[in-house]
Amino acid sequence: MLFNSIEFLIFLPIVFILYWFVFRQLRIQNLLIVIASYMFYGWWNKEFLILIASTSLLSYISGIVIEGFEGKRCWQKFFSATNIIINLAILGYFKYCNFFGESFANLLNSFGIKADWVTLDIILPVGISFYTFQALSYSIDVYRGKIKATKDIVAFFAYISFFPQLVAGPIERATNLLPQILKRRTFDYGLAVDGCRQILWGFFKKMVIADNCAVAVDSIWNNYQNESGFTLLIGGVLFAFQIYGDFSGYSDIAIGSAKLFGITLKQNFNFPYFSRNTAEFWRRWHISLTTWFKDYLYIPLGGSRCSKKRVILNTITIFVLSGIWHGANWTFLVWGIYNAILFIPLLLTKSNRKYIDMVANGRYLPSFKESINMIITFILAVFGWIIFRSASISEAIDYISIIFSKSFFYFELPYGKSVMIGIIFMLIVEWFNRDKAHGLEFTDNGILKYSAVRWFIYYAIIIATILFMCINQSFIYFQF
Amino acid sequence: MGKFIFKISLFVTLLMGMVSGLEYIARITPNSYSYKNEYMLKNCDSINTLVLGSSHSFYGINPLYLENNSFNLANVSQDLKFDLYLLNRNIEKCKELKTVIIPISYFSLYETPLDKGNEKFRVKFYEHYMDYNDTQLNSIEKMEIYNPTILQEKVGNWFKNLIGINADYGVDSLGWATGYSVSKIDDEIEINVSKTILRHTPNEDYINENIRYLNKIAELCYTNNIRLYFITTPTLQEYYNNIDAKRWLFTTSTVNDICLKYDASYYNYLKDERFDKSDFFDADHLCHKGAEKFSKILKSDIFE
Repeated sequence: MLFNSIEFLIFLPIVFILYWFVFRQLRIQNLLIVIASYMFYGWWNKEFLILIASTSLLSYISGIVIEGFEGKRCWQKFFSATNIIINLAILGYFKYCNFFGESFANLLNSFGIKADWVTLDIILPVGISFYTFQALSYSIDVYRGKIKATKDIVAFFAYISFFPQLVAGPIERATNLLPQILKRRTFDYGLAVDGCRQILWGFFKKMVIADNCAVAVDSIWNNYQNESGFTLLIGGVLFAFQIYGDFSGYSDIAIGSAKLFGITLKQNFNFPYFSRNTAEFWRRWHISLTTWFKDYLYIPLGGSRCSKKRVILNTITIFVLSGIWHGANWTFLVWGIYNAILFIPLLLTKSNRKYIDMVANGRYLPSFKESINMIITFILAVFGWIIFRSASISEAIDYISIIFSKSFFYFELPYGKSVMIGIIFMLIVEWFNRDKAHGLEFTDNGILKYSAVRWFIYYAIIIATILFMCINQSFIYFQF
Repeated sequence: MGKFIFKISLFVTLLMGMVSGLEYIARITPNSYSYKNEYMLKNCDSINTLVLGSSHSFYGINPLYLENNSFNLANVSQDLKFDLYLLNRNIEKCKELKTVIIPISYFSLYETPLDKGNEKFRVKFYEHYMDYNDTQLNSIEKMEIYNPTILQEKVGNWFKNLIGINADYGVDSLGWATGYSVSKIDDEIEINVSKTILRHTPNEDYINENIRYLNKIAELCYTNNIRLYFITTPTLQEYYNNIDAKRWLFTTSTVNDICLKYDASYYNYLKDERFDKSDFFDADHLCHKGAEKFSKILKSDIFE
């Protein structure tokens, strides 16, 4: 089920009413979450429900087994590793089997060894990378003793399958979400209202910004050989806003929906395009994935507290893996390497933690230097997105070469003029709310303390969404 | 909780009111469908020539250059089923109707019906403005607000009317579409042509259904003593060189068979060399200049 569908607009209030008015016992509420989540997922493909159930069951059992062997570190390690290997094998089969098979066959062929790979007809289950990582984090945390293994199977299934974040995150940690699921929840008016605002802002970003950018981006990419360098750069900029609107929009709807059920999910985006360098960008973009890699891979590998060579290797490993996490294509791998190349100099010069607070803290506008830094960081991100969006490495190279050709000086804007207004509006709103969790988080001061003003803003955004939305566009991150 | 439910109910109620208002505005704002319907109601008994069909005739045949009392009742993506519907609906009332012109395009026989294809949202316009009531759209799909691009246009026109500016409904007084004013043919024509042909992916499943509609149209005209002309509008060389010759041969021979059976005529201008790039808006649609030229040629071929 897509968030931007009529089905979801009916589904969400029904689950809300059942959750708060009919099933008020904790266990029954959790069971309702599981049933609703499986319905939500099964709307797309019922067959893959068995996969989520298997992943959940496997991690549930491994959690209990790991804890059962308390004091026997060797056995704990064995069961934890088994769980990780099985989960990664499932993920690998569905996501990377064809890619590695074809690549291996090509490699053998390049050495003169004849090899053929018959492409398997594998359908990629929606959201598999998200729920697999969520399941992995649980068993690793149990192994590390950060969390007690739960015996409540319903609560655990609810943790893995919680529908707002099931298919595209945020990737939740058991340490944050599971205790909330195990604890009796009471309705919090402020949280629910904030959730509604966040959902509204998410829909605006997805349906107005991302989906309209998508139309222009597809037109540019489908015909990129015949476009001017300037148009291609604009295509990259529009894709940067498409992927931001799409993914952060999804996260906002997910986090907002969870708030309606009294559950607080982690912030997944923190206004990344206001970053002053690439390191800051990566602290603000897809936070749940970057912190996952940091906690479960980068730090165990030694993090930055080892030799320079090792630090560089660790950083490249993390970025390459986070690239491949997005899909089985060389473009994702190169995108990861590209980001590592941008990140490593900052790490080596210890500038990676230079910008911890939000830009222009306590001021309305950024300084000249901050503005320049933000623009440079954004342009660097845009070139990364061009690699990410391209179907192949050669397409990315062609695309970027045209940008740096003479045709760059042929200024024309055949696509995306109208969506620019929407993007500017979004940036202004987010700029003035950049110290908050999302674009529509209001504090009760100034003119916004009047509910009539707030309602006027809500209705204006809804009417703008109705007038300027694109219909039936899926979310980009579903494919990951 | 009570406060939340009360506020959210109030919010949703007001929102429903606004959405209904928006839907109402969209429906009462004049548009090409409502204009054509109104015109037919008022002038039906004086019309001699009726042009039906899809965008090819909607943009390509300007009744101003045909005989007096001609009217263009074509609409974007209007398929043979809806041609038949409009003809059936008006034939009794149009006592002076002598000639009907229907375009035959490369995709005419291979087209997925309008109510089953990508453009099925257009079916609601026939329901809202032309009394069509056989739609399979659900109640959400029937709403005008379900199509933001068209909604924007309608709300914009409504607002223009409100402040006293003449709104443009995309058609002139004789139902001809005014949107394609100048040629947009450029060096990328090959690519645009492949896109145009892809836009109409041939679908073999509906050939019999489309032939049945053609036969019904021809039979209806024949029994009512109305002269029926099938015409194929001109296209660019890059277009007609890219179409499937076998399919096109089947289409033209089918139309010729129908003409023999019902005493109709078929004029095929697909490869007409009198038209050059400056006559086309894109690979298969005429611009203003081309439409004028083509309509004059039609007049001389059909009426003189």
